[in-house]
Amino acid sequence: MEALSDLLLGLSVALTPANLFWCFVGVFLGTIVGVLPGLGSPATIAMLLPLTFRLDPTTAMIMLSGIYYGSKYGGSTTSILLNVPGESASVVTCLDGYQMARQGRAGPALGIAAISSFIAGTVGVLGLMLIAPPVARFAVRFGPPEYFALMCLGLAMVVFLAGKSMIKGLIATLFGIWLAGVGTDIFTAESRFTFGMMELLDGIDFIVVSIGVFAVAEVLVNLESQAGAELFKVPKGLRNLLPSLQDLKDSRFAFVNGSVVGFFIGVLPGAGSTIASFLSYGVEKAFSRHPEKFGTGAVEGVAAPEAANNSETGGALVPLLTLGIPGSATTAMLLAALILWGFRPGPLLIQENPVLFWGLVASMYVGNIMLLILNLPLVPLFAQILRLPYFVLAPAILGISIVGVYSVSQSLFDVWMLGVFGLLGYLMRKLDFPAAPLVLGLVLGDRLEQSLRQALMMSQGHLSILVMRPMSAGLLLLTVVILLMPVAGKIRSWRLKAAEEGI
Amino acid sequence: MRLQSKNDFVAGLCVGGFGIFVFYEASDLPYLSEYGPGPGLLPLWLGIGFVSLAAVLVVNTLLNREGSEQVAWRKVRRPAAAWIGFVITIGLLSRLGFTLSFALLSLFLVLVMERRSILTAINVAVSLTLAFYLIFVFSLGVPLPLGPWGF
Repeated sequence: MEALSDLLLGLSVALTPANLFWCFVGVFLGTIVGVLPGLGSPATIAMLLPLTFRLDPTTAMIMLSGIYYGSKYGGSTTSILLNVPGESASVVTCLDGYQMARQGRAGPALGIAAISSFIAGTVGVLGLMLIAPPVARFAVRFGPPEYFALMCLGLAMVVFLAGKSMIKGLIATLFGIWLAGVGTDIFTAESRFTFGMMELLDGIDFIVVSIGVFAVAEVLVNLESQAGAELFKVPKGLRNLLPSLQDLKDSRFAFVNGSVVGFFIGVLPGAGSTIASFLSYGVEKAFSRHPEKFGTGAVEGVAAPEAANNSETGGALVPLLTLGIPGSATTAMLLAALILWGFRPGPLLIQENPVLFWGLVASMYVGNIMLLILNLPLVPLFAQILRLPYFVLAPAILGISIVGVYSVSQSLFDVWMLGVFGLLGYLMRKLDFPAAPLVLGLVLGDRLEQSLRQALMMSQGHLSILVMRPMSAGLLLLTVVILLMPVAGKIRSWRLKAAEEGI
Repeated sequence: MRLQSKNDFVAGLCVGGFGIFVFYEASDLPYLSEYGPGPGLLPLWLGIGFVSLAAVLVVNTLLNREGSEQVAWRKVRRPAAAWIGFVITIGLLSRLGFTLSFALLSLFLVLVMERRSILTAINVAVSLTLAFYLIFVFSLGVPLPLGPWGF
């Protein structure tokens, strides 16, 4: 009852004309930032932060948060249409979203991404509103051993991403983890695998790798034969450009799975939306009646990671607002903004600044509705991009790839690396090495190593710390179970074969 | 012995070689530091992991247990040409700027790779370059490499 009256207070703040206007500006800018690869929400918030000092702090926070969750809505667009992941969390959306686009189902894929983003975004805000303080207290009990176990669980998702060969999936994952280790070691400042190149001291950005192995490699594969007029089919009629009732029915579990996984992963500082999207995809495939369809254009394969990616926003705001702990670059920018305006994010923020907290929560409900209204009509428009003949799309994709990579750090070295990873991605495709596990390893590898080393420092080198704490032991056990699933499947198929031969 | 997949065999050997390189490089890094585990800890085990997985891949291929389809390397000529064009474009970015380099890449892909008419190629190159300039440079202010002519 108290939450309801607090929400009403929030709605009275969020629904003022000025806050509605700035909320719209935020979600609109966020959508644009999300659509364009490389232009991340942290950089956009950093650029706009000085301009918001003239605004009321609550209004400014509403707008900046709008950029944050709006960018997640837009992130799926280029992944689905062009196989260009704009952010690491969108990599998973490429797997089935792009395949749907190739089958003439770009519209339903974009539509389901928008709908699942709306549902999960709303669930994430509900979580933020109802269970923020207790969940935040639980999150701070997560120490390095638990993070290490969580990263292992995330890496175990390779089982669901490996495709035909588990060995090749594991090799790709190891290569991703190795790439994550390139650069300066943060504990000892020692350089590793930099080959004497200054540019590699900062490490390799995931965006360079993911755009290279997905987008550039895809263009190279498509250029193997001379392109006909259209590589993609785009059906006519609005009905065929939006998700059908069957699509929604097929995705109902994915909405729930993605929302729950996304929120709880979001609450953990530093875990991030990437692990949330990979985990929800793995859960969806593990419980699916037709796991073989994943990777070939399953609608649930788009709904689950998109839901997780958006629900994570609500979760990520929990430690930020209730404990003052930012879990990502974007929430760190939001924390900086709160401190600049004189707020003290922490356990007392909700009591001391109810207008800010509840106004923000209510604005996120409003913003999610705005985003759905903004994005669904854009679906048929975006789908029309695929009507362009491939000889127009190919240079456009390569151009977007260059802009996406260059805009992150203004480094031509990174663009050279894009060329290298494009070639690597192409060779991987030719030799049947899956690309998604490589990105999975790259994104989680850094955190995996950090948490392992921190855990071993805590225990003075004893590995037992990883299994002595109940939460990390439980997560590691789950990891082992998932990794053994393919072995169990093989044993079952051998037994069936033996039984058949016996007959 | 006839290999089911020569590609997997060669890929396995390459991964194995890479694993040995990682192991060798990692052994130069401290395995333990004064703070605890050193920067060589994970790469060393990664090297061992690479070599082990490569061995499994090679053995599986030798036993004809696992193998992807043979790659039609003849098909690689066109992507190789496109990739070289892409890399040359990257090289030109610092000299000609993004706008002109991208226009040349578009022209190359449409005219040489896709064998379209010169008119179509110019049309696509100019339209795409203009669209990129308007969206990224003019509207969003994205900093892109500039040429000697200021664009």
